[in-house]
Amino acid sequence: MHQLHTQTVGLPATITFAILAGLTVIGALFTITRRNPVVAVISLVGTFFALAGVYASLSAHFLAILQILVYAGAIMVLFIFVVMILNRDEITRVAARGMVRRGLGVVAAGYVVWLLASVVANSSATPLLGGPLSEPGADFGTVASVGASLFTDFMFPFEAVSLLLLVAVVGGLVVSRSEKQEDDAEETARRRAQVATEIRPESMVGGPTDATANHEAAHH
Amino acid sequence: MTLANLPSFRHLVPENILVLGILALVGLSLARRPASRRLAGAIAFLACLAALAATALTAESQPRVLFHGLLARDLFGDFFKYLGLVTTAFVILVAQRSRDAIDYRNEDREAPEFYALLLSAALAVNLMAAASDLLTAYVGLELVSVMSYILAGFTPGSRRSAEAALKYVVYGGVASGAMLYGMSLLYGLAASTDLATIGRAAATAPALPVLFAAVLCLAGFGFKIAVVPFHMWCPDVYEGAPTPVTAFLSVAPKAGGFALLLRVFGQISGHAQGLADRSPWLLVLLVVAATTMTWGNLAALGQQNLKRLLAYSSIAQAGYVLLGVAAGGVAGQEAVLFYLAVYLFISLAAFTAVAAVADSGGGESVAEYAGLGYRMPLVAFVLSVALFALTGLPPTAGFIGKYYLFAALIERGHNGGGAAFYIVAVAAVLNSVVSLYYYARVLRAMYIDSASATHQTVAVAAVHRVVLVALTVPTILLGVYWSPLRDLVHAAVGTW
Repeated sequence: MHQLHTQTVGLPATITFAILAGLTVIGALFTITRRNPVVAVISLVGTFFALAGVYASLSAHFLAILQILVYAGAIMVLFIFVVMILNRDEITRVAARGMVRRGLGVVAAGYVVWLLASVVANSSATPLLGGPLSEPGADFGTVASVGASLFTDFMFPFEAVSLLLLVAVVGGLVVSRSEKQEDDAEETARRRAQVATEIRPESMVGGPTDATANHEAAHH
Repeated sequence: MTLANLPSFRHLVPENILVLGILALVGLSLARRPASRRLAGAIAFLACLAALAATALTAESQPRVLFHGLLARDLFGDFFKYLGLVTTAFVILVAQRSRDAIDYRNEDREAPEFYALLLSAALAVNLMAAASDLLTAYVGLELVSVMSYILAGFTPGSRRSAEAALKYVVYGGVASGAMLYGMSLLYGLAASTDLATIGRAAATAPALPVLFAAVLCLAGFGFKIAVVPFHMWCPDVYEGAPTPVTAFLSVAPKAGGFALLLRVFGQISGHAQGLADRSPWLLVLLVVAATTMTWGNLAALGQQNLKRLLAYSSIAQAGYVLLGVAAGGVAGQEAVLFYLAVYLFISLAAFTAVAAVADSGGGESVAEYAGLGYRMPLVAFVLSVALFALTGLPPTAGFIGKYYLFAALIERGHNGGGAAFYIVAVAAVLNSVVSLYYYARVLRAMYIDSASATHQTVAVAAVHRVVLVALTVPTILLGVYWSPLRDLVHAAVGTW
């Protein structure tokens, strides 16, 4: 394995990262602890802004702007609309049942935190958390370079995700259809079929609908 | 040999056929309303068969790397593509006569959408089977997850189905989050998402971060294959989802999950100085596998709903297969592939039997299966064969599959694996005995507890009869003559 060159990070960069990372974590904590859903959603917006700052400090400027436009902008507006439409003032807390369960949860969470801390302490010798690999090039993080890599090296996942979004939209529409719409559609179809039989009565004789009906009737 | 984008498409014919099928079905749903269930089914079935044929015809023993290293085309991936596509083809047929999937007594509504989503899930399993990079692995896994969520909630106006979908989404989101965190740690270690590069970096990195990342990734893959403790969604989803969808979920995403499990952990722990030698990783896998099969079998004992009982049984089966992953090596991997192929026929047969009973107005509880051996002799016979095969009794294919799994485990224990492998092998055999008890309960209901039930024969839909026979023949045939499947598995494992 080739040796990865790591650089030391300057003090201003470290302080910037500490502030932004701290804001991200505080925003995330507020999101899951506030009982008022609007406050929770606004805290999430704060988290996204701080994350965009982290991206910007890593020279990923285009990604930072996308983060603000898409997540802090579009998606969070959607969240706020949903919260307002549902019109729930306060969210009831999910209570962990019993002291034993709560205790076990605390122990498990503490163990994971301890494990993570030892992972970080153990790995300063490896590229993991060892600092940036190298100084990014001049065009790193620009719209042009992100676009170029999206449509050359990563074209396949890009297309796969487009397909995911297409079928997810189809699925979302199918699942969210309401009973009323179904009844309306049924009514329209019935009327249309009625009109068709009145105009051309012979078209229904021995047609596919009749065959299906007979077939189904045979099973009962 | 790494190929660029355009030359790669030549090796991606099966996936392209599936995409064309999906687009045709989406177009059909827009063009005709209500669209014919038969036309939609025919398009989906033909796309599936064409993709299957294309996979077989374009298969090469020489492995290729496509799209600058994002996808692999090898016999190993092709084997899992066969599993996904064969499953989908059978499920398409079963769904033709399942009211909870396509309401065929009510103008076949939403048939094209159902089949488009099913084909997308099949495509996603193909992606999981071929992924050689964390990015494609994640896209494939997420595509199959999203399609599964929607398909699980497909029954219109059913609270049970909607509840299943919601539970699936919530658990799935948590599992994906944990897995992504593990993947980000792996990326931090290797500065690359390529699995081979990660494997090389993992061999020189400290063991603890690699183990931590591996366990987090196991959460995501374990969710797909439903092993304890990532199994909580499984009984509710299997019970609430439309029966053909349950049949699909019990085989195809599990096959994709095991493909990823073998590929990712094969790279991380398979090398000489890999994770397995420097950390208790194998012990983690063994404990998860042993807990999974024991928990699944014990929880199945008290179940009254047959779909729920089969869900717990499928959790237990995933535990058995995970034993093969822990055993590792050529023998272990071959045992995993062999068992998954056999399990495809067995599990689909069991769920098709449930769908056939539901189609003729029967219930899903074990008590309502009383006297089924007289009312629907074929369905009861197929279900009996499937249950015997799930237990692992000869002369069914389930026996051969379990034999290979347990043999791989003993072999690994013999070759320096230690006492843990022997202990787990004994536990697995004892588990099979426990499972016989609850499978026998269903058999007793069907053939013995029939005094109060009517003995009037009930007709079974032709398409269900065909599928049931087509699934039972290999279940029995592979139990007495399994060398063709063994050769196929051998070739698949040999290529990577």
